[in-house]
Amino acid sequence: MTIKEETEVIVATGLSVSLPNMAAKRHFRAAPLTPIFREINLRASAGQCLGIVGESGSGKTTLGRTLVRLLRPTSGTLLFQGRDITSLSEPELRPIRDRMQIIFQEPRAALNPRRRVDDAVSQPLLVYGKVLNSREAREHAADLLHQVGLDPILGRRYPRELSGGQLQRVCIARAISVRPALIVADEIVSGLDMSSQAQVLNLLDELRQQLGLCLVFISHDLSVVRSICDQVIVLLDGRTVESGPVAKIFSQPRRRYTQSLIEAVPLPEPDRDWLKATTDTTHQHNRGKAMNIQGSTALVTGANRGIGRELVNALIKSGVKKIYATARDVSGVQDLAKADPDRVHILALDVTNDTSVEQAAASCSDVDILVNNAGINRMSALLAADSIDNARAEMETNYFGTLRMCRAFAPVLKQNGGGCIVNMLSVLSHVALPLMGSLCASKSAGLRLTEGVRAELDADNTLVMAVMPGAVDTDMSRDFPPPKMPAAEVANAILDGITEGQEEIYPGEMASGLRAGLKANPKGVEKELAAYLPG
Amino acid sequence: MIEGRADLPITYRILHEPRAVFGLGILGLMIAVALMAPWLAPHDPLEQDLLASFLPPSWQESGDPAFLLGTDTLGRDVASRLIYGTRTALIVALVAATLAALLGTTLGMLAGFYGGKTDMLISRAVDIWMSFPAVLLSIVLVAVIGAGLHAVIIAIVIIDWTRFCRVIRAETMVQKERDYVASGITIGLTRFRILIQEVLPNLMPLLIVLLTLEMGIAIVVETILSFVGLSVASDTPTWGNLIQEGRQYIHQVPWLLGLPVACVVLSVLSLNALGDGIKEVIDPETRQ
Amino acid sequence: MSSALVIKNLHLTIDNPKDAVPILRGINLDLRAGEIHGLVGESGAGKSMLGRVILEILPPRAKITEGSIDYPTRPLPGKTKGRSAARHRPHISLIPQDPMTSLNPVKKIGKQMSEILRLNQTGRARNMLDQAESLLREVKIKNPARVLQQYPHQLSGGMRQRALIAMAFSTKPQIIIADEPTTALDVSVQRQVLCLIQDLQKQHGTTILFITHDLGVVAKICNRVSLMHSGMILEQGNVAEVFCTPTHAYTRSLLAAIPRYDRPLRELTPVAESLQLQLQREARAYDHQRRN
Repeated sequence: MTIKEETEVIVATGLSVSLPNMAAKRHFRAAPLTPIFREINLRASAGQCLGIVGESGSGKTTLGRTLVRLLRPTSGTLLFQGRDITSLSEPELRPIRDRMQIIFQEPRAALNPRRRVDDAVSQPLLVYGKVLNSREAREHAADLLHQVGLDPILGRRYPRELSGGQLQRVCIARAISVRPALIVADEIVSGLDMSSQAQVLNLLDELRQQLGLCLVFISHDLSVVRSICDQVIVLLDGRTVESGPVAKIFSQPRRRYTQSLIEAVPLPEPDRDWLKATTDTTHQHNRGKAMNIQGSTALVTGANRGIGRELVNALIKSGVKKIYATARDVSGVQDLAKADPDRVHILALDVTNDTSVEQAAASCSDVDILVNNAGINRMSALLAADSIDNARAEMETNYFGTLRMCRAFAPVLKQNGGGCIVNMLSVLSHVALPLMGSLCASKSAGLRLTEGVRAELDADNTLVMAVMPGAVDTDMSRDFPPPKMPAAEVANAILDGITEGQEEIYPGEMASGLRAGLKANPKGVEKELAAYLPG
Repeated sequence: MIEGRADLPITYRILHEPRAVFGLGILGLMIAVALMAPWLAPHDPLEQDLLASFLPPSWQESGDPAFLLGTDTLGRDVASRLIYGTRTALIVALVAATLAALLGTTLGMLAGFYGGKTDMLISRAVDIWMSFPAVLLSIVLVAVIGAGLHAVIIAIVIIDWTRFCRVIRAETMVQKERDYVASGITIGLTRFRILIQEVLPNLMPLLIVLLTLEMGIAIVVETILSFVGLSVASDTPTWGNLIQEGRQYIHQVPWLLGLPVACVVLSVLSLNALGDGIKEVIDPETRQ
Repeated sequence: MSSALVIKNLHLTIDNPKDAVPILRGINLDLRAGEIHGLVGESGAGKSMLGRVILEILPPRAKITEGSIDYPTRPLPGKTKGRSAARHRPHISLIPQDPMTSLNPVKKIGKQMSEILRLNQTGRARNMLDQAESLLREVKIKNPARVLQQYPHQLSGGMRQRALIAMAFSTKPQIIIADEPTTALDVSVQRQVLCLIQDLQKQHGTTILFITHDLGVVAKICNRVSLMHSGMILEQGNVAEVFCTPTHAYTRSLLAAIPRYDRPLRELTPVAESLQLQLQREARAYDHQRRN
C-alpha cells in the first residue's frame, strides 16, 4: 500500500470545478457559477499515461488546468505525490510547481512572443535556481532542445520564426527542463501536421519512459489516445462516462457514447459505408448513460419465465459477456444455462429476502446491468376480503423487492463505474383499476421508487429506467384478452432503451397509446381499461 | 510565410517604413534644434530692435538677410524665437508624455492584471476623470498651481494618464488570458514577475504608439495653454506665445502667425506618422 | 466521365520585393463531374492556394505564370479566350474551414442567408427567408425558424458549419471547394457533417474539391485523391488504389505516420526528415530546371 501511494503522482477524488458564467452576469452582482466538470475521480502513477477524452465543451481542458492547480477546485480533493494540494494558495504552490507542468494546445500562445526560444526553455531553471547565470542556462537550453530533437541553433530565434511542430517541442523542452513528476498535455498535437504529430507523440512517449513521467494526455482524438495512453477517462458534459484501461475501453466500451466516439474516428481505410452508419445522437438527452450491451454483465431477476426469460435470450443475442439468470426457484432457468453455460450463470435469488439479496450482491460484483423483473400479480381488488394479504405480498415483491435490489446493487454499479438499473413496471403505474387496484398501487409505488433512485444515482452515472408495457403475452396475463404483446418484443424494446439511454419506455402500441390517452383523458382510459379486463 | 519581411530585424523594418522614417526625421531634427538652440539661433530670442520691427522673411523684397524669417512687433528675430520655442515644446512633449505614460500604464496594468477591486477602483476613477471637460480642467489646474512650464506638464499628466490607463488596461486583460501567462504560473513565477517580465514586454509596442501620439497631444496642449497665457511667462518664446502675438497682426504680417502654426502642425503630424509607422511594423507580429 | 474542371500545368508564384517564390509547380488536376476529389497535403503544400486559384480569390502578389484552367462542362459560345472565359465559368462556391470567421458576427443567420440568395435571384425578402428556412431544414438543422433569428455566436460549431454548407449549396453551384470544412469540429460532429456533405452532393450532383490534411476523412468521403507536397501533386488516383497500393514514398510514409486506434504507438513511424528534405530539394531542382 505504501509503495503504491509513493508511485501515485496524482489522485483526484470527487473533483469539481465551477466557474463564473459571464454571459449570465447582471450588473452589480457576482456572475452565477456554472459547473464545468463534476465528481471526477482519477489517479495516475509515475511512468503511466492517463488519457482524458471528450468533445469540446466536455470540460477536459478545465480539468487539465485544475490538475496542475491553475484553477482551484470547487469541491473534492486533489493529491499530488501524496500531498493534499486542493486548496493550497499560490505562494504555497510555488515550491512544488516545478514538479507539475502543463503543455498547452496552442504553442504560439503559450510562449511569450518577445522571448527567444532558449530563454523560454531555460526560464524555469533560472526561476528555481537550478542554474545560476544565463550562460549556464543557455547551455542547458541547448541540451534540452537537443533532447527534444531540435537543432540548438534554433535557440536564438523568436517563437514566430518556428513552425508549429517545432514550437510544440520547445514547449515540451521547457516543461521537462525542471524534471517534473507530472506533465499535463492539453491537446498538444491537434494543431500539428500529420508528420509532426507522429514525431511529437513518439518524443513524448520516449520521455515518459526515460524520465518516468506521469503523463495526463488530454485529447479529442481517440486514435492518438489509443496509441499513447495506458488508462483513459471519457468525459461528457463535465461527467465521467467511463474509465479504465485503454485496451479494454477500445475493445469493449461499456457506454454507447464511447463507442460512438470510437466509431466516429475516420480510419485511413477506404470505406464507402462508413458514412451511412451515422446516427445523430448529439441532441440525445441521456447520451452519457446509454449502455453498450455488448461485453456487459447483466443480472435478471425472475428469469424463469415471461419477460425475464426472453430478456435473458435477447441479452445473449446482443453479445452480453455474462448474465446472471436468477429466480426464486432455479429449476425454471436450468435449460438457459445448459444452452450457453459459458455466459449464463444460475443463481437462486429471492428478492423478498434480505440475506438472499445481500449474498447476490456480494457474489455478483461485476454486474453493470440490473434488471428488476421479478414481480407478482394477485389480481386483487382493494376492498376484497383478502386484500390486505394480497397487497402485502405484492408490495413485498414489486416494491420492497425492487428497493432491496437497488440498495444492494447501487454500490456494485458505482464500483463498476456506473451502469444501468431496469425496473419492470407496467402502464398500470399510471392508472387505478377496479379488481387490480392492489397491483396498480404497487406498480405506482415502483415508478416513484424508480424516479427517486434515478435522482440519487444521477452523480454515479447510472441509467435508471422504468419499463411500462401494456398487456404482455405471459403466464401472468393468461386471462387477458388480446391484443397482447409478445414478451420477446418487450425484451427487445428494453435493450433498445438501454442502448439509447431512455429513462422511461412504453413498449408496444397499447402502452404508448394508453400513455398518450392518459395524458389527454385519464378517466376515459380508465373506463375503457376496466371494460377490457377480465371479470 | 508569405510575409517574408517579418523575419528581418525590427530596426530594419522601421527604417523601411516611410511614415516612421518621416516621423523619426522630423523628431530628430526637433531634438537637434532644441539641443543646439544657443548655437543655431542667429540672435538672442529676447533681444529687441524696435527699428527693425515687422521685417518680412529675408527672401522677400524688403527682407533683411540677418533676420532669416523676419522680425516681430518688437523687432525680435522670429527664427530664433521659433528655435527656442522648439525647446519648450519638446521638453513638454517628452516629459509630460513620459510621466503620463508611466502613471497611466502602471495603473492600467494593475487594473487589467489583478482585476477585482483594484480594477473597479481604478476604472471608476478613470470614468469620473474622463467626464470632466479636459480643456477646462487644465485651465483650472494651471490657475491653481500657477503658470509655468511645470504647471503645464502637471496639467497634461493629470489629465492624460487616463488615456494610457484605459488602453493599457484593456490590452493587459487580453494578454492575461493568453497561455504564456498561465505557463508563467506553472514555472513558479509570482504574479508580479509575470506582469513585469512577461506581460509588459508584450505591451511595449502599444505603449510606444500611445507615447508618440501623446507627445503630439502634449505639444498641442502646451500651445493652447501658452496661447491663453497660462504657460510660461509671456515673453519666453514658445510656439503658443508666438501664435498669440501673431494673431493680432494677422492681416498685416501673416507669417508671424503662419510660421509657429506650421511648426506645431509639422511636429504633431510627424509624431502621429511615427506612431502609425511603428504600429504598422509591429502589429503583424504581435497579432498574427 | 466528363470533366467539370481541368487544370493543366498550372504554375503560381508569389512576388516578393526580391524574388518570386514558386507556390504551385505544374499542377495537373482533372475534376470529374459529380465526384468528391480529395486534395491532401501538410500546411504549406499549396493545397489552399490551389483552392483559391479555382475560386479566383488570389492574394495580391500571387501570379499565375503558366498553365490553364478550363471548364469543359460549360462550352463557351464562341472561341473566346482570356477574360471572357472567367465570365463563363460555372458557378463555384466555398465551404470554409472556420465557420466563426466566415460568418458576419453582427448579422443574424437569416439575414446573411437571404443576402446570398438575393445575389443570385430576384424576389421578396419574405420569400428569401422562407427559402433560407427550407435550406436549413435540408442540412438537418432542428428548429430552423429559430436559428434564422440567431447570431453566429449563439450556435455551436457544428450548427454554424451546417449553416455555411446550406449557404454553399443554396446557389446550386456546379463546383464546391470545401477547404478543411471539418477540421475545427469534434469527431462525432465531423462524421455528421461529412455525411451531410455527401448526401447533398449526391442529391445535387455537385463536384467537390475536398481540401484536407486528414487522410482518414479522404478515405471515407472521396472518390479520388491528389497528394500534394511543395506545390506539386505527388500522387493521384482512386481512393481505394492510393490507400491500398500507394506508389509514392511520401504517401506510404504519411499513411504510416497516422495514429490509429486499432494499432499501438510502436508501429507509428513519423515521416522521415530526410524524405521531407528530399522532396523540397526535388522542388527546387524542378524550379532550376524550369528556369534554364
